[in-house]
Amino acid sequence: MRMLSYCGLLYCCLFFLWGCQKDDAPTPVPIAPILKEIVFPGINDVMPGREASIRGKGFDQGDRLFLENETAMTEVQVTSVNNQEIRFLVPEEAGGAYTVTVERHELQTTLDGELLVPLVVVIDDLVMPAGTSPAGSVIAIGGAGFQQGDEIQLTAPFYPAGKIISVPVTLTDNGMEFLLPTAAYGQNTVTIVRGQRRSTLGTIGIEVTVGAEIGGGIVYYVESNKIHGYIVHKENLGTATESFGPGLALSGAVGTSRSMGSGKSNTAKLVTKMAAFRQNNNSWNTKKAAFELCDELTVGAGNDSYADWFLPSQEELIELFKVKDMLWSKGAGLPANNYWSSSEGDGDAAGWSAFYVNFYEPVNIVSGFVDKEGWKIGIRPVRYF
Amino acid sequence: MYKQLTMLVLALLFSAAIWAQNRISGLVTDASLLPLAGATISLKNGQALTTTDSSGRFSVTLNRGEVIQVSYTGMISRTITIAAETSLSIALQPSAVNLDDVVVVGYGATKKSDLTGSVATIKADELKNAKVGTATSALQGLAAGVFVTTGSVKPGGDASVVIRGSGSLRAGNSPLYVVDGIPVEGGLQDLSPGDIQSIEVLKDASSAAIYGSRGSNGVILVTTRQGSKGKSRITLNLNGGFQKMMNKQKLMNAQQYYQLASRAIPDYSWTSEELRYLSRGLSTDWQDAITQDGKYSNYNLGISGGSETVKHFLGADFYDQQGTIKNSSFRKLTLRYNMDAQTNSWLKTGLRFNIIESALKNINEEDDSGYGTMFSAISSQPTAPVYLDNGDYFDGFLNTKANPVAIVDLLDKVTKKSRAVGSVYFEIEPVKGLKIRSDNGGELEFFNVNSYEDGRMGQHYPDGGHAVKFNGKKRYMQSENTATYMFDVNSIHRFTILGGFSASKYTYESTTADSKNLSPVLGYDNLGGAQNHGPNGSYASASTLTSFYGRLNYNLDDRYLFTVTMRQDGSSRFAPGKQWGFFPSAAIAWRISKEAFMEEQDLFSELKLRASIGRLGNQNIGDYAYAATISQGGEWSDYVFGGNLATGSVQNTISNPNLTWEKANQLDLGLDFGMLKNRIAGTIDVYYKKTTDLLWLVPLPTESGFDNSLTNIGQINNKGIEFSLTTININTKHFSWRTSGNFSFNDNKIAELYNGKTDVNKALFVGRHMSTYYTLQADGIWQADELAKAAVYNAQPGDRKVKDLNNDGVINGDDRAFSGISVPKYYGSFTNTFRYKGVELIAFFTYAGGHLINNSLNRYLNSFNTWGNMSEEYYNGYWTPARPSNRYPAPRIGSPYSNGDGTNANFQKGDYLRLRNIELAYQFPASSFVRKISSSGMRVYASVQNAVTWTRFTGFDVESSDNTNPYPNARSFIAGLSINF
Repeated sequence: MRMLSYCGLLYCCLFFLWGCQKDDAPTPVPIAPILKEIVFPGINDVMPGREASIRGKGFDQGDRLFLENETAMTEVQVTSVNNQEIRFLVPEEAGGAYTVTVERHELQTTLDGELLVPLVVVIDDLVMPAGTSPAGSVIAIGGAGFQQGDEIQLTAPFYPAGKIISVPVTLTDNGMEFLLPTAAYGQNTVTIVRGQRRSTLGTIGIEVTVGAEIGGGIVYYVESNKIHGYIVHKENLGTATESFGPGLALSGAVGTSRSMGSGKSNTAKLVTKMAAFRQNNNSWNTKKAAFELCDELTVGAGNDSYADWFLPSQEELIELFKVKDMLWSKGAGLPANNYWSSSEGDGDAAGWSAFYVNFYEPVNIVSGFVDKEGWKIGIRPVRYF
Repeated sequence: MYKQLTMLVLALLFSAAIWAQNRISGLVTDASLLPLAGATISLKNGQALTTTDSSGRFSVTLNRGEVIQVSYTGMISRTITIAAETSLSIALQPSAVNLDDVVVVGYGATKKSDLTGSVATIKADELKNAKVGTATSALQGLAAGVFVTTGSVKPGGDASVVIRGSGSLRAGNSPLYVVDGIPVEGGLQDLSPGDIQSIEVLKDASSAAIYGSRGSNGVILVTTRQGSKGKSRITLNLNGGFQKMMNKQKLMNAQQYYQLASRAIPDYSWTSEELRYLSRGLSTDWQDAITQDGKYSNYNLGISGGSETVKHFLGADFYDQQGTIKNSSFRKLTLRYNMDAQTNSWLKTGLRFNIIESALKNINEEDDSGYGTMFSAISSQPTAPVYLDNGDYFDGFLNTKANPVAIVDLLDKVTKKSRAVGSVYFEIEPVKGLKIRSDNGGELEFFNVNSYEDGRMGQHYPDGGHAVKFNGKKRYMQSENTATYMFDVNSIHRFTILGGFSASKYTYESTTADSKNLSPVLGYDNLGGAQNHGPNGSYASASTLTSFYGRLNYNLDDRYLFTVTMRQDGSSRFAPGKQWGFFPSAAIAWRISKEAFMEEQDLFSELKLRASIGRLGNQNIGDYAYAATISQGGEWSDYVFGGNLATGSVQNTISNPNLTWEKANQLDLGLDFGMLKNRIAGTIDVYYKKTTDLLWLVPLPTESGFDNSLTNIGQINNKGIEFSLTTININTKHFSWRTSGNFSFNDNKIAELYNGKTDVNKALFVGRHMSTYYTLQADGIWQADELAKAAVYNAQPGDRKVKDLNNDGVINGDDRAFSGISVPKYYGSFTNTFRYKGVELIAFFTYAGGHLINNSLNRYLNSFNTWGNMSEEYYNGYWTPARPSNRYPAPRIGSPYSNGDGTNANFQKGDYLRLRNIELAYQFPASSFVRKISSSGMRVYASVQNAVTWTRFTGFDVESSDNTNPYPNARSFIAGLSINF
């Protein structure tokens, strides 16, 4: 009976043990973050001191983010995380290429790819001057983030290649200011430079007046905004009897224009056409066309040299005619002669003729198109700013 | 004075004489120590002394040394020599067979010894092996030839029963269930096992022929408890416990899944939630997430009693099961009242009344099981969290597009059923032996299925919610009228003649309302508030059955027994002219043990040879199947008229006025035996069942306008052998050991199809089992050194190899071969019951085998699939050049036959042996403390259901009918108390 009782007791114990046993769930062991479909922002989408986003799947709240380059690993502040991206604050001092590491549960995963941070100067609430400024005036630029030692660089496409006008700045309550150097004219791009960092702030307009001696010549025409215009070379090119170029059939015309602003493109077209012409003809191998002379001209002025000369269009040449007296006063007068423009003749005459302007006339504007090759007249190059 | 002295001396002498004898009182109980009323106490010479009263007690005066015999019908008699004790406690063990048992047969009852047919009797006690589940599932293993599969073990899920093999392709193979004379559709799931007194299974044609057109699949007769005259008896059974899910599938964890998926699909599209989850080292075990320990409780109260004229039984049963899948449950309340009254000397009346109220909650059974709850859990990737960081449910699932936890949390699906079944009978006996009885009853059932699918359950479900309300009503009425005349001639020729007629009508109607985009708060309770409605529908049908039947039993001197049964049924389900069917049978039995030449032997206490033959029918073809039916409305019928959509009608089936019953012709030979004073008893039956006129949708030429026509064709043969045996191995004063078991073997073959065809769609084959597999033959995995040969079949090393049986260099349908069958060839059970004093240990085993199971779950688990998780075994065993598995293909997208579809790759042996119940009980005898609470006995027990299963099948359950989305089976731990007053 006792044995039976023991058996019964054993059965009951087994009954409950068997029934109550429960599988223990294994303790989770975290692993390094698994991050998929990672897309780094383009360099233009990243700014020091600004929020940036790395797209991808698997980011988690609480993730720590580290940027690492050759010199250091820096933790950055994660601002938000969602299923598509992680957003973080790019350190203000950041610049260059970084590998990015995500840390979670003290386990790290380095993302494939690099975060490229541009070397820029960040200016908030930037206010560029409105309108134009007289030459030699003080330019004030509003904004936050300017620092002592910052430098302004002025550049313009019509400046000699590589010419940068550097100007120190003075910090003001609203930003900074600097004094326009006399060498600066026309519309300039303003770049702030701080060590290796640089940022383009915008453009300013520096007023120019007709008769000013800048840019390798004399300003002979200014547009109404006072920041664009034409500069004429102080001397004629070649002899007083230069042909325009080879006279061609209509098919040889290049499609030039007579209007303001077209002289530079006219010249470029003609130069291109002339190069093709030379490949099949040797009649001009020993001489230059009028537009080639202008195109190849380089003028030195101090440390600068200007090589963007061109043969003016008919209307640009007429504007030059209008101020010929002023030019004489500047020592850049045009001797009485007919002068080639870069505008080809009208209609069917475009191939063999080009417009000229008669500078014999004291006042009246006389212009027509004549044989490109048979006529031999003067050449005066100009440039645009 | 002298006279007084003389009287005193005489009195003293008399007293001395009395004191020389012992006044013995005793208690006679059954093996469960329940009192036996009416047990006989006799001297060894047969002289009866007394019988036990209603409390099982007796009192006699006996001399020391005298020998008494205690006997009771159906029990093994005990012989006791009187010693010094004055109080006896005698427990009788049941004999292996009780020939005096009354066995219910259709429209009557007979003694077991007089049976000519093959009838298996299941006593209420035997049903106790199954604590959880329905009465149908409790039948498993209890009778030879009765194959019970618990196809779904969901709360409230019922089992399916097939008796002596399947004989029908389309008309169903379920037996006819008759409870107290009322046919019951769909099994015994509404019946409380505690209300059952006995179950008889009519297996052969002779016993089932009285049910004619409904008997071809056998008949299960249930008799509920009735009162008995004498002391009122109250039985209270309380049991409850918990359930633990079995066979949880071992799947990959998140880390394993990540590795495998990343390897197989380098550009796999992970969600951020998954990647975060992975890095936290977490993994979702979806099986755990949706399952829980189930709870089960059952309370059953029975009050019975009666007098000489009135007997009654009142039963109340409450069943409550919280499933192993969260939020799934089944509750059922059953009330029963049975009453029999002998109104006067010639009139007897009675009633049977049963009401059932049940509610089944949240069992997600998608039409496509691939969207069911369990499969959702199986296939959901473990890398997916249950919830998003914001608390919403994760909804990025690959396969089911549904969050399994959201399903169990949010699905609101309730199936409610209210059912009333009752009958009233009047029985008169105008002359002795003639009983005329009219039994009229019916059934009324209302059921509704309300479901609301919340859009948050996942992409698979409509965003704004989807509610469906289904209401159905069934009504069944019948009138059974019989006359039974019993008489004998010279007590040698005994006759029982039964004649009767019956009429029944069945009506059914249902309504379905479907709405989308509606309030999640009100759900299906306010469909009117939905933005979108439909499709809505309604349906109604009716059928009637009229029958005439008769049976003649002739018993010649208890040695030769003859039974002739016939029934003619007229069913509205068939066309005029084909409505009547005749189903005759005959049986003969020879009780060899009653012959004179057997009198001298002691070996056989009973030996009976039986033979029966007959025809049965199957009318389960559905309503209106013979007629051309018209479909009205809907996308296939409507048309545009004048720019507007008009309701149209179209004939969608072709008529077949020749449609008739499936007919089962059955021959049965049986041998019943009892040996060694019925300490060993058993039955052997062999049978041959030929089912003809099978219903089948025969394809029609396209020109007919119809795809097919329901037609009677072909023939299926079932033959088999059944064996059942009960032995009383040990029976001592304090210890007994009883063993019972059964074995059934069935062989099924299609003998004929139609138009001389040897097969239909390569699914049914003449000469083969109707559940034959015919598939391609998987042959392992292509190995690295078979590169060139694999290329011939557009395969690569690591792909699944399939046998090119015809060596034509192409794998196609011509390479298929027979690959086994899907239903067990053999099945059965065995039980060992040990008793020592009040302690009882029961071990009940069931088994089946000889078949293969297509473990469809493995098509997902054991090959790489882009739909969800796979097994851990696959992860550790898939083919790689460095690990050349010959079992699991490499994880390669586009790998042919990778998941084994169309092949036998996922077939597994279905053989199993299950310890279905192991139970330890203690029966407090009536003489113990329970007397103080006026109890006549109390039994406490602890039981483990489905304790162990030995099988090679790796799915959720070897018995489950759905292997893709099963409701997981559970191991149940139950404790209970039964007390009688």
